[in-house]
Amino acid sequence: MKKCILIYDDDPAILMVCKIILEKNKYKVETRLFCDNIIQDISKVMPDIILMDLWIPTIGGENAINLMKNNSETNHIPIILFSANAEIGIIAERANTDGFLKKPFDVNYLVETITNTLQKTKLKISRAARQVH
Amino acid sequence: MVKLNKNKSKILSKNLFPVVGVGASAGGLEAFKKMVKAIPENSGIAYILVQHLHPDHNSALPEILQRETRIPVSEISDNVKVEPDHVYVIPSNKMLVATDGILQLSPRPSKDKKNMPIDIFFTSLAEVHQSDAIGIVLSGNGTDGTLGLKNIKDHGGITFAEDLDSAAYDSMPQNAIKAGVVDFILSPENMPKQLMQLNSTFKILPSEEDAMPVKLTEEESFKQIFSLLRLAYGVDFTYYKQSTIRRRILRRMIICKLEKIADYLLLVKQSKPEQDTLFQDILIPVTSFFRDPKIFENICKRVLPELLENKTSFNPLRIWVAGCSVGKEAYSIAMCIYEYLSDKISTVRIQIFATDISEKSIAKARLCIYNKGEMEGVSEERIREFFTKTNGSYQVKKVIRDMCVFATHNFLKDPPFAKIDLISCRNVLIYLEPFLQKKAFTVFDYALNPKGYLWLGKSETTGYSSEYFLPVGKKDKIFTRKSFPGKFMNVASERREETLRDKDYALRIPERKRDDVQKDADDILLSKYTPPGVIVNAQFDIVQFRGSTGDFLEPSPGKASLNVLKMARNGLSFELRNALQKSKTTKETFIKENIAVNNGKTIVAIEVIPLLDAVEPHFLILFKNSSPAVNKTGNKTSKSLLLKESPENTRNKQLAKDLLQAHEDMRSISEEQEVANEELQSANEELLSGSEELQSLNEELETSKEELESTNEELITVNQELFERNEQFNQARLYAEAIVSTIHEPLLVVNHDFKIKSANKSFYKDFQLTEEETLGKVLFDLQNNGWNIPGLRSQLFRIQNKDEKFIEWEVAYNFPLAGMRSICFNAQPIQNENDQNLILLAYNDITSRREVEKLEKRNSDNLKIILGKIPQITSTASRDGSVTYFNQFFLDYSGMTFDEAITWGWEKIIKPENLQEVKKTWDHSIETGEDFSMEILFKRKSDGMYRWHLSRAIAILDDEGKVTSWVRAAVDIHDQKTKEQAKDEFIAIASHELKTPLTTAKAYIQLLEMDMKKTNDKDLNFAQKAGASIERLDDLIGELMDVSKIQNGKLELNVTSFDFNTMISDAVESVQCLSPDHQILITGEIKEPVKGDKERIKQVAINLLSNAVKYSPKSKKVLVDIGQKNGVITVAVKDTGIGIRKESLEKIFERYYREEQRAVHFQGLGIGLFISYEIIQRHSGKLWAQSVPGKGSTFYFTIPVTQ
Repeated sequence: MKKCILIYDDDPAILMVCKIILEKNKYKVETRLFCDNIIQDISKVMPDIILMDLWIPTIGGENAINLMKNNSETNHIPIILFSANAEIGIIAERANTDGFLKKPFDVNYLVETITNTLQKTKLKISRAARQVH
Repeated sequence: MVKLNKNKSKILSKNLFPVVGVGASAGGLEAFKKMVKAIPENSGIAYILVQHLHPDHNSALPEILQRETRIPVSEISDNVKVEPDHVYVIPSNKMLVATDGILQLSPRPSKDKKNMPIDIFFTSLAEVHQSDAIGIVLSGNGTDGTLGLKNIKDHGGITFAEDLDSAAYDSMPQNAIKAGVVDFILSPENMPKQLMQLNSTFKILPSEEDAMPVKLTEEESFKQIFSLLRLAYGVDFTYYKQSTIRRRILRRMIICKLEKIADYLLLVKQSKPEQDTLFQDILIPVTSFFRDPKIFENICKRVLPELLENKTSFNPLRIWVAGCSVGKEAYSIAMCIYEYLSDKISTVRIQIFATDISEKSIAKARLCIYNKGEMEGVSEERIREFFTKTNGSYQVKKVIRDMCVFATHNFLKDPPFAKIDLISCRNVLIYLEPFLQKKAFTVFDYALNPKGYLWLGKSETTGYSSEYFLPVGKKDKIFTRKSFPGKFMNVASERREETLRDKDYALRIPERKRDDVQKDADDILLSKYTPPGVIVNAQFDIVQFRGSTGDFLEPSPGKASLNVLKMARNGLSFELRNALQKSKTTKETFIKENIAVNNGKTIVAIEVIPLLDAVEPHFLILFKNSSPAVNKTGNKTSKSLLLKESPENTRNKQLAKDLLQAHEDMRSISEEQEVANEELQSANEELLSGSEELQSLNEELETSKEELESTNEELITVNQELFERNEQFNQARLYAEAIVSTIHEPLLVVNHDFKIKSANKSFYKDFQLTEEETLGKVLFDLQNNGWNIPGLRSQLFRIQNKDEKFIEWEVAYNFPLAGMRSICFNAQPIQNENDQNLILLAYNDITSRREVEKLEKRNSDNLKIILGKIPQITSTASRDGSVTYFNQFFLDYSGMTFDEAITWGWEKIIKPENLQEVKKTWDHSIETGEDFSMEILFKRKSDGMYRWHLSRAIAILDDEGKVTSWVRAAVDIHDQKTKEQAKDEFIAIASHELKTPLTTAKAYIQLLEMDMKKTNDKDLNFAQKAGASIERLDDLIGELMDVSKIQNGKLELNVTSFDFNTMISDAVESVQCLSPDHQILITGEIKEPVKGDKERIKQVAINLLSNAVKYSPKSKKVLVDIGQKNGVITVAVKDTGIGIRKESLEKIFERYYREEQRAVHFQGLGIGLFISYEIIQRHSGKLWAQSVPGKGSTFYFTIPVTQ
């Protein structure tokens, strides 16, 4: 089953190019231009990983991440911050995301990052599951 | 009575009051009555009467006396304590004696002993009360009292005798007066007055009696001065040479500016210091080292060897220097002995006793330090040998000092030293009357060893006491002691003294009127009809021959002697001795008849009559020839006439006649001779008395000489002082003149009519005047009345009229040549040596000062106006940071008043959130003195808005670099700041917006590239180039964003621990891949992980590396060296490119700066180094560059290993 990636960005062109690249790499891609309804979006799309732009209408990427992280239904989903801002590393750490991607990005690096993050999440989940059992 | 008690207690507390002993005999009661009557009630004196009374007679004396006075009169019993203001009578059967220092009654000795109660009592009184004792001898017969008075005087007491006119029986007072032991001769009724006066000297507090001035004659005043001195120092000057002493007293009077002796007496009474001075003055301490050096030589040559002959350390050489003054004499002798003995000094013990009356002199002698003036007479060698120099004075060395013993001693009163080998008493006796001289000689005679030497002053001789001493060398005044046995201490007075004393004191001894005819007759009778006899003294030495005693006395063979027992003819001696002894013991006349003398040839009767009137017992011996010798010879002659009547007889007759004739002739010749002899004798006596007078004159002269010497010394000292003063004065004058002439201020002295007396150089110079133009001219007329300065005249008048003592007056005046000047006049009156009133005028030219002041005032006014008007907040602060001044602009802006704003009030308009930081920064600047620069939000009053201000403050330093104050200014940068913020925001958004399409573009080109790679498209190259351009575009946008962030202080660091080596090689790799032609070499290694923002540091490394590559187009080598030292990492990036000019080296790190040369040939925004610089700074590191244009540059940066 294809992994589903939910991408938030206010620029349709970026959404488009990302969709092309990632679908080429056998991912299912869902895109949104606004991040306000992130919880609903997640419940609807059920993504395996989220790519979140920092500067996105209307509440901003950081707030959206917080909403998601504070929700027990959604907080298990890995999220990657994704911005042209130079301080993206600091912000990503602050927002406790699972990774970040600086714009403009290298195509290969985008794919690598997502693949790696998903890999890590899978390990984490399986470890957590093992601990539960 | 109350007063009496008070007075009494006062005296008792002092435990000292005078006790008057009164001795009287026949006629004494009447005299004592008179005296008692005159005694005031509260005299503070106790009176004790001793009357010659029959021991069995029950005396009613107390009752009789009580009628005469209100003072209690009582008979002394053992329980009665002697109190002042009482009269006591001694019981007739008792005596008052001193036992263990207390007066006590003792039984009167048995009748057969001679009763001298007055003497005994006076002696006791003297012992108990010492100088408080007063003895009075009233009317009476005999000699009782004389010895007692002498004792009182010896103990420092005072003695009185009734005057002979008033005394009913005068022999008792007369004896006392003759013996020279009486201080005052008065009638009984005058005695209490004198007593009161004396008593006032005992008291500390003056009583009422003192308040009443008592007229004293000069004589009495002198006497009182003497008694004062006697009380104070125990030295009686009564028998010192009166002329000398009175001169000294007069001298003191002149010094004290007193004309009357009575006034001086008062001064001496009240002032102890004056007593001291007088005492010292009278003693005339004139002395010097080696006085009369020739005599000293003789002493050394002749006397010392003899004295030292048998001396050992067990038998010391004892020398007494009597009257040593300040010890120079003693030290001189010691030095002589030291020189004489030289190295043998240790073998002999030397004791030099040096004594003087004056404690002061003795103290100085003991100190043995003399100043230069006192050292006269001591040779240089002696100074070197015997003195050590300390502080300009000379101190006698210990060897000499140790030979001398100093003591205060009055050789006339205190017990003398004994076994003395040499007495030096030089120029002491000249101050003494013959009476005391004699006393002195007895003392010296006692003190000296047999063969001892006495050394007197130049004009002193043993004169009256030549029986004791023999001159050794007349010039040297050295005498040896005559040694003959049986000498006695003769202290009793003799006739000669009496006459001298009479002359000097004018004592009122009544002249006995003599009937000359009667006397002549007496003389004839005495010579013709009295039996021959002699008067002998207690030692039986003949004092006087009366009549012809040849039949009874003859000179004894052997040593000449006048002893009557030795001279008595054969057979008489024994009887004489008996008779004299008997008479001596019984004190009665003794007659012995029928004594056979000359082997029975003559029968003699002797009569010994004791002469008890004199102080010394004398005896009159009368000889009577009981056998008529004339008859015997007559008989013999007639017998022979009868026996032989022959020619021989005739011849014999003739011969006898001739013989008779010859006898007659011889007799007349011898009579003539005798007359001549007598004349010679009298001439001799006259000569003797003449020589005595000369002697005393000589002494007088010597005394005067010494006085003159001492006066001279004083004068020399005074003169020297005056000379020094004069010198000082001269120097001061020259000094003052020099000051006046060199002083910068013009000085002028004008006289009373304003004519110029003198002016100094500055005056001439400043006002362009010459001396001729100035001196003697009226001040106001100078330079054609050019000096008529308005107001000056009235000011000077005020000085002249003494309205003002000092005037300081300022005027601006146009002087003729000197031009417009502001002058400050100082005027004050002065007096010159002729008491002329002058005015000293000092001109202080304050023109330039005034101008400067004006200028300064204008400047400061201007400054204030500028500060006030300046359209910026301006303020000043003191060193501690509190604000002292705000300009109007601030006050307008803040709406505060000046007083509200200063100190710390201004902080109220700082935005509260901002305040803490402002305070911190401002405190830091105040502490360190560093410039203050900060953006602060101040609230504007008009709209309540906080506006950004760039506030800056700079410290004002003094010469030593210490902060004195602060100058502060704040510029309103609110608008700029807002605009900049907008701009930064814009840049941030713009760069973000630019990146969005760039991201898309980059992704598509990459996709394209990937596809083309797969298909091996020939145009893959293009796609790759497009990718690189997009990469570059991305960097440029990044740089822009960084700059904007740095501007806003929003550049945040992501500090992690990372491997520096990897970071550097990454950076090198990324640069290398962009310009593969260059060779980039890394040297060095960082061993530990480094903390910092890895990406940012890498950015710096890349920036430096790409610059190195960029600016080395021809040379292809770039070196990177990394190293670590002391926790600091240094990175050096070295290229061999075009280099940077020196003047640009500092600017290349500024924002937007591009070096001209580079800007022309190379691309770039010129912000790379600025960003790098900021990044390194944020890492607390440094970034700098070294470069040689054309040869290459090296960029360095450092960061600490741990942040």
